[in-house]
Amino acid sequence: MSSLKPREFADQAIRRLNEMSDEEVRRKLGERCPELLEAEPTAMPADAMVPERQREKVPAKKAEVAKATLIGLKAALPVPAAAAKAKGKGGAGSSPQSPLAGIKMKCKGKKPAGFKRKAVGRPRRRRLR
Amino acid sequence: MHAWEWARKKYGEQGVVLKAEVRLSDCLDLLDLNGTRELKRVFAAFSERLKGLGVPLPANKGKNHGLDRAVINFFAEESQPAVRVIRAAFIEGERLWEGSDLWEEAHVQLAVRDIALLRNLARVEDPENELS
Repeated sequence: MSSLKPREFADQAIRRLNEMSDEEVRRKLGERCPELLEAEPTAMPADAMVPERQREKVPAKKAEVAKATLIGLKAALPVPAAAAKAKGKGGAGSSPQSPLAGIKMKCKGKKPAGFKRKAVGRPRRRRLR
Repeated sequence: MHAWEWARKKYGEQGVVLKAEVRLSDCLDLLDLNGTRELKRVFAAFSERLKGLGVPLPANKGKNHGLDRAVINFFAEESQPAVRVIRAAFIEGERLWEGSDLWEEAHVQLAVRDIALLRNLARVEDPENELS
């Protein structure tokens, strides 16, 4: 029956993988599954997390805050308290303490822990009489 | 029966089914815990390396087992001497009845990478012709 010793063979395959250069791995992948190399890379630059439309319109300082928020770096955020107080008009991020103060949260993505999104843009359902 | 259905679906009138004795020599046996555990270990290393390169892992879509195939091919080709045959079970089709864990098209599949392992190759008659 089977003479293969799976552990030894797996060790060998893993060792071989570690020895291979990046170039060699890419070449082998290209031979076996070329569609993988044509796909988008998984690691996205931080810029890509902010929608293009917003990237253009939002002033630099706000864009920075939005970017940092979206990638979950809550601790690193500056809190523009005074500006937020002046501009905060209710809804998500209106609290002067909030790191999201003054920023329209329209982009999808990961929100910081504790962030509650308020439903907007849809009228409440009227009660039937 | 399953083989005939597959052959007809894929090749129509031209499909044939062959039978053979397969010697399970240098077999990566995924019906055995040793085989599955080691393959899992190889997958961890494989996915880590691809992640480092920024290359996405392939995905299994329906009956196209792209991810499993990529990992098994890697295991089979990079070990020395190379794996010559792989045996695994597949669950396909519908449950036999509601709540059942038996599946209509469940089967064990052998992927023979070295035809020297085949013996007594012969053609299987079409069961539909035999009935008529």
